[in-house]
Amino acid sequence: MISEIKRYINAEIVLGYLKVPFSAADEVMLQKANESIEAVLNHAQIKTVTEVFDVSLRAQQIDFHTASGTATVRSNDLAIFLEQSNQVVVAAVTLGHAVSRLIKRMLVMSPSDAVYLDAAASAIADATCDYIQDSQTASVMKAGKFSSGRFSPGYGDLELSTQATFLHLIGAEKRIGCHLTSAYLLVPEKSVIFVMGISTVPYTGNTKTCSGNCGSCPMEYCRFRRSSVEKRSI
Amino acid sequence: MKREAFSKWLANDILVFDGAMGTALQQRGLPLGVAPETYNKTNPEILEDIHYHYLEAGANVVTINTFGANPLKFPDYAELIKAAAENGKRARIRWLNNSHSSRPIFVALDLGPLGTLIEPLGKLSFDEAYDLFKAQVIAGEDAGCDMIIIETVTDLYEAKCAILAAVENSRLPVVCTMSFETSGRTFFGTDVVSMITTLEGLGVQALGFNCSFGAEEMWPLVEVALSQTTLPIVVQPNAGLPKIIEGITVYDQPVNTFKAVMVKFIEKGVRGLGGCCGTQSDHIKAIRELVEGVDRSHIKENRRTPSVLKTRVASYAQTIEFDEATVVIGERLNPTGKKKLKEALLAGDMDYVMKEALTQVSEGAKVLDINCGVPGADEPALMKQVVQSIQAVLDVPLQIDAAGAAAIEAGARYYNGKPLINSVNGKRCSLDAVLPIAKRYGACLIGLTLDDEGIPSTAEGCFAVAEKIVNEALKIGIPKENLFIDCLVLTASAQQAEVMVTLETIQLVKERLGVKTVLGVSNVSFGLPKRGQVNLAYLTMALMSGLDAAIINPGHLEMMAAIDAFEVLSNRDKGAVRYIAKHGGQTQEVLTTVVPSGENEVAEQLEKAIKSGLKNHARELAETLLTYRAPMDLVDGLIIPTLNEVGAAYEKGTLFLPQLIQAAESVQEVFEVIKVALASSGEAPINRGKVLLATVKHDIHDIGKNIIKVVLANYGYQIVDLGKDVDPERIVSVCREEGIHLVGLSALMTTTVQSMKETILRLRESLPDVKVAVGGAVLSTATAQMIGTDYYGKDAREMVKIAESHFQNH
Repeated sequence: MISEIKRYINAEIVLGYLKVPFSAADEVMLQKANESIEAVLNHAQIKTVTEVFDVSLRAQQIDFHTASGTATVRSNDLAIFLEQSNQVVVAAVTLGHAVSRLIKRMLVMSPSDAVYLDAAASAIADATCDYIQDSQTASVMKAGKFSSGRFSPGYGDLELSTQATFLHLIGAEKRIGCHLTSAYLLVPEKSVIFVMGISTVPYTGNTKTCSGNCGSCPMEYCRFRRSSVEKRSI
Repeated sequence: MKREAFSKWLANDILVFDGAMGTALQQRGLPLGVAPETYNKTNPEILEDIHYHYLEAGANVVTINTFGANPLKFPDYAELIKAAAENGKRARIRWLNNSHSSRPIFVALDLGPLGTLIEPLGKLSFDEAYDLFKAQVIAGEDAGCDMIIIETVTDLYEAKCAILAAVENSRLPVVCTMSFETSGRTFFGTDVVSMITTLEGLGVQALGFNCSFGAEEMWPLVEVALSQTTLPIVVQPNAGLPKIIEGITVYDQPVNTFKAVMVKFIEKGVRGLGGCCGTQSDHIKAIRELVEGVDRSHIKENRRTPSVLKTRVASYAQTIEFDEATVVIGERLNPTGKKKLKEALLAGDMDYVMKEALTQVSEGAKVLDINCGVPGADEPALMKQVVQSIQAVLDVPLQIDAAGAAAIEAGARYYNGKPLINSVNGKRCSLDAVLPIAKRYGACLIGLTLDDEGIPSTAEGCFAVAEKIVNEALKIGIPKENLFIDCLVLTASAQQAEVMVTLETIQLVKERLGVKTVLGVSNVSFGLPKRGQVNLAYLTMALMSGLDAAIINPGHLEMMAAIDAFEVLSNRDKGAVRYIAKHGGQTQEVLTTVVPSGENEVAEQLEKAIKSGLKNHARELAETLLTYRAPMDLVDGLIIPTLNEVGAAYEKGTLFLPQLIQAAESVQEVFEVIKVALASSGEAPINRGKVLLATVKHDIHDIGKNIIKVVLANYGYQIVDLGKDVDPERIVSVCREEGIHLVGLSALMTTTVQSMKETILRLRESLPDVKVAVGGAVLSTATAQMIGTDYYGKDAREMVKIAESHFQNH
């Protein structure tokens, strides 16, 4: 899997997380970015879990069906994003605790290196999500179906607390060691949960990382935010 | 059954545990989202039925349905535990009456993970977790349970916590099994050897593995465990690897496959066998059939020999053995004679402590000595803080070094591993106070050859003290392999003849007591010039006398090299493999940078070095420039203007975050030089004002805050960093105690902006003079105004301007 994930990551992407335009990067920055990718990959224990659930979509609500009952997630933005999906992929990715400790050590010894490592780790977590998304898309297409983009708790009105529901659905705590804090943040820190829809008809909406409903999203500094959108007040 | 009796029974027989509870409940209709433990009260007949079937299949152990029944999840946990125990006992009575069997049946309180992470990964303190486990243990023993099983734990710290709670609050036998990955480590990085090393001395009757995967995948872990401990091993694998079918987890390994691996386990000496997820009555029946077929005399013969008993210490993820090579114990985290370390400990500056720890490890220390004996400090509290800070980032084993028992106990208790305790001596009061601590935590222990008469002047006299310590330790149950003797080197300048006495004592201890030896070598040269070469000579003499571990400065390259060479010459580094790996190849030339002469040229180069992030070069240039300029002239005339230029370039977008931080790191190096210069000239250290930084409650992201800290410190501000996920009350109380009037708050999540608002409100109510600056990815000027802050700092540069303006006006 690591060799596959490496195809999604490079120094430019890491520098992007540091808001350094590639055109402005000097040799030192490029070298540091590349070294940080290697360092994170050497320490990471990348684990993923991906499951597919039958779903029913209602207004502002998605019901996930299992043999022992239904788990409901309430979100208008997610329901819109998933459109006419009849199945949903729930996936969790983690780089493991060793990466978090590496970054903590570096924060003490060399904060500038820690910043690169942190960016590289975020980029690799996202790259792993890209890899899973592409794998799922390929598999779905083979079955003659369509897949949406990714959507994660914290986007739009999908509350962070829904991470508890998703983690429980796929057994992420037992299977890959992902936990939640009391504020529903994932531990290890470099962990991601996302969902993507599967449909028998093509998706029409924006299939970028979120629903693209930037008007209702408070992530002002999101790198995908459309600049024309008014900022939301809290 | 009492613990000793249980251990004796397990030495002569094999315990059959039951199978999965979750699977059994699912099959009987447990709906999604309903906690299994609630069935203890609402559906007791179902639980009794499950237990009965496992007893029929052949189980000795009825594991009651209390896996998640802790006070965090269930306010009525005690009732649930009582109901669960009643269900188990009813099943036992019914089965014994029906079967007329004499098979011993144990009703086992089942303790699973609390479901909340313990510090430093989570918010729950070790003591809070201990209280939660303690509550369950007391409820379980009161409800009539016969034993306690702690299972499916992946965090070694949580396992230690649960075991201590069980051992200290009940008389019941305790078994602990952890869950691993096929990599051989848990999710938290613990390997099998470190698990065994840490847990076997805590008072458990058996250790082992459960869950995660099937028996076949568990086999390699069991093989390692069998070679590492004489404690009975327990295994409870799943019925194969999990699959999700129709949204539920299914385990479908055939019973015959399961049974085939169980045969291997029994042959190799595993003493407890059961099943975890997916296993059913058929799996337990298969185990019982195998156990009945085992020759009982074979069980008695198949006990592991003392050859597995090694001298070792462990962290949560690394075990260091003292049998194969000389171990270097880093001595620099001892504040005696170290002003900066003293100041850092008193100020609670854990960054400084961690940096020193990390540096020693990078220099080759395999264990770190931790001493927090600073006058005026709460040593036990400080020891706990230092131990927990270091183990949050490093997996190096620690040596807990304190004169008082309270500090020793604090270090040993809160340490996530098996520590080395430094020390006990031959005085009665010391033996009475320290030996029980070492026994309680399964620690290794150093004994010093001094008693009420002082340090004996002869080798035989010193040996007698050593022998007394060893005998007292053995009497209390501390195994010999956990003992070290420090024969206490005296200073050659004052007691020259006794220096050789120490070496003779080492030889006697090795020959006659068979325990390990350790020495703080540097004492020998106190008061002499060129201490390094005296220490070096003495070290090699001590190694030749039989020294096993040296407490030295790992930054002393010649001492470290001498140890490497000794390992070769004493035929322990076979083929000089380690020596060549470390010292072989071409000699690296040390590149010396040409330092310019002339004040103006030096100043120009220093400016460039800071902007380029050349830390070492900046340091050298600063040292040179200080021969021309006073420290504060350097700060005000060059450092601050250069930082301002760097900051302006960052604002303009011609310089970026990594470069800003590199420049800041270079300035940090320069400030270290300036601090020394200020101290030696008697001037006050630079302090432009105190700023408190914190990531707010519920938010665990701190990298932005840490960057701000580095940059603000560059400008001479004293930073009090409270870390992440900080309660508003704590921020208020620290501001009050330390007289802080500027607070910087960070939040990365929209959900935690509310915490920011609450913190500001609390400050307004209690300390209206305190000004607040906020920053973080989710914020904007408008948001910052809405939550009532005084300043909005969108980046590090902005925060500097805020601090400058604030301290000019207040």
